[in-house]
Order: sequence, then C-alpha cells, then structure tokens
Amino acid sequence: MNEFLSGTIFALCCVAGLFFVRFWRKTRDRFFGFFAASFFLMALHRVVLLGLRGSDEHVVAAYLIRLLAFVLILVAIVDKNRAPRK
Amino acid sequence: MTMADAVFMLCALTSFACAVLLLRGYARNRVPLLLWSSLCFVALAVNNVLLVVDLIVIPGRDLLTIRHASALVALALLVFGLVWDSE
Amino acid sequence: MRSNDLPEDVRNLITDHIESVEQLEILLLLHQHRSRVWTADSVARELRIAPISAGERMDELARASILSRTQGSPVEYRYAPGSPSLDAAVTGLARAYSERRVTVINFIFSKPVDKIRTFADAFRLRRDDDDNG
Repeated sequence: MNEFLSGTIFALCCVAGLFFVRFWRKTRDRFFGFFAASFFLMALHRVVLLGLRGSDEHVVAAYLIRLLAFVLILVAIVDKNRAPRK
Repeated sequence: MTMADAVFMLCALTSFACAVLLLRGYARNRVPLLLWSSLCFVALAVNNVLLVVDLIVIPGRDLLTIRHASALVALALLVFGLVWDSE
Repeated sequence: MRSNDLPEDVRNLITDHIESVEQLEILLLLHQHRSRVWTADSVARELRIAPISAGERMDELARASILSRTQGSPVEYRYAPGSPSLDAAVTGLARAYSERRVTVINFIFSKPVDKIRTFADAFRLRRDDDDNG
C-alpha cells in the first residue's frame, strides 16, 4: 500500500513538473523553471526513498534532496522579488 | 531539536509561506488554480510537520501511511488544479 | 484587423507592461520627447488627465525599467528603456499605434486574465501596483 502511494506521488510530482516546464517555456519566466526543478526533485526523492528500504545511512542523502527541492522554491521567490519586472 | 528536525521545519515553513502567498493571490484574483495550489502547499506543510513528528516518536512507523496520504492529497490537488484550470 | 498583425516584440511589450490606453499614451508621449524631463503635472496638462493618475502610470512604467524616475519634489520622469530591444519595442509600438490604432487598442483590452501569470505574480511580496479592487 505504501509503495503504491509513493509511486502515485512520484507520478504526480512528474506531471506537476511537466506543467511548470510548459509554463516556463510559454512565459520565459525562470520562476517556473525553479518550480519545475523543485517538483522533479520531489519525484526523485520518492525514487531514492524506494531504494532505501530502511537502511539509515542513505536516509540523509534522500532528505537532502527534499531540502533542495524546497530551497529551490525559496530561491524562486527571492529571485522573483529581486529581479526587475520582465 | 536535531539538524534534521530543523531542516524539515524549514521545508514546512516554506510550504506554508507558499500557501499564504497563493491564498492572498486567490483573494485578489479568484483564479481557481491559486486556490488548488495553495491547498497543495498547506498539505505539503502538514506532510513536513508529520515527518518531524514521526522522527521524534521513533517506533511510530504508523505515521508513514498518513504522511504518504498527506503528500498524495497535496499533489493530487495541485495536479487537479493544473489540469483543470491552467488555461 | 487581427492582433497577429502586430510584431511579436510589440505584443510582448503590451502583454507585459501596458494595462490601459492612458498608460500607452503616456509612454508614447515620453518616447516622442525622449530628451525632455517630465513630471506628473506636465504630463497631465499635456494629455488632459488627472495628475495623480499620470504619476501612478509613470511609476508603473519606471518599475518596468522603461522610464527613469528621479525622487524629488516634484518627482521627475524621463524615457529611459533598460535595453535596446525594449527601446525597439516601444518604437515599434509607436509606429503600430499611429498606423493601426484600433488593432493596438483592441489588443490591450483583449488581454485575457492570464492564469499562469497570476500564479507567478502571487509570489510578488510587494503588491503596490494592485489593479482593480
């Protein structure tokens, strides 16, 4: 059950990422590029967790991916508020 | 609080900040996409908080399913909004 | 007349920065007299619009790096595009407005509520150029 849920989340993260890639191409606003990368990282996070199966040593690496995903969102917000309006 | 807890709380706060900004945007513009995506980030914030809780209550692997459920709800809301209302 | 007739950089300029005909006319006025320094009052007199409105429109254009804004009393503006391509787009817009006024006006008013842009705009922390209410 948990693996099914995790797999579904993985797929949905990829779909969301693809939508943001499309928005990025359409608006030429790198804000959406950051969001796309963030959601693809969230998808990657799911894959890495699947490979762990409880072994603790690589858990840190897996969660660093999650951290990076959210840091990218922060970067997107900061970048949007610093750059002059395009 | 350990380093890991601090990291996940940061993730939770980031999610929550996104949710607030998107809700504020929805209050101004009434674009449904903003509502769905803000709810997504609320659920992601909940997911990160649950992760912290799970780490503190160590033998509680019970939380895993709820954590997955919250992440699933989050992404489902976002993808629904993107598919239904992005154009 | 279809808005596809307008050059792409002109269309992008309008989509990104032009919200109203008033703003368009202010921009073209400053573009036409690019060496001159303007204030909200002088623009208002020239175009017969309210000075406060003129000031707000020019503040928006200054934030978009199309005009330069010098603090003072009164606040001074002049045409100062941030890049040569922006300058070219404004020149193209001036030409399009003189040749195909109705097309340009229709394009301004037919800008759809771009949902994707509102998503990105929601993350702007400083909301001092609020539209409508």
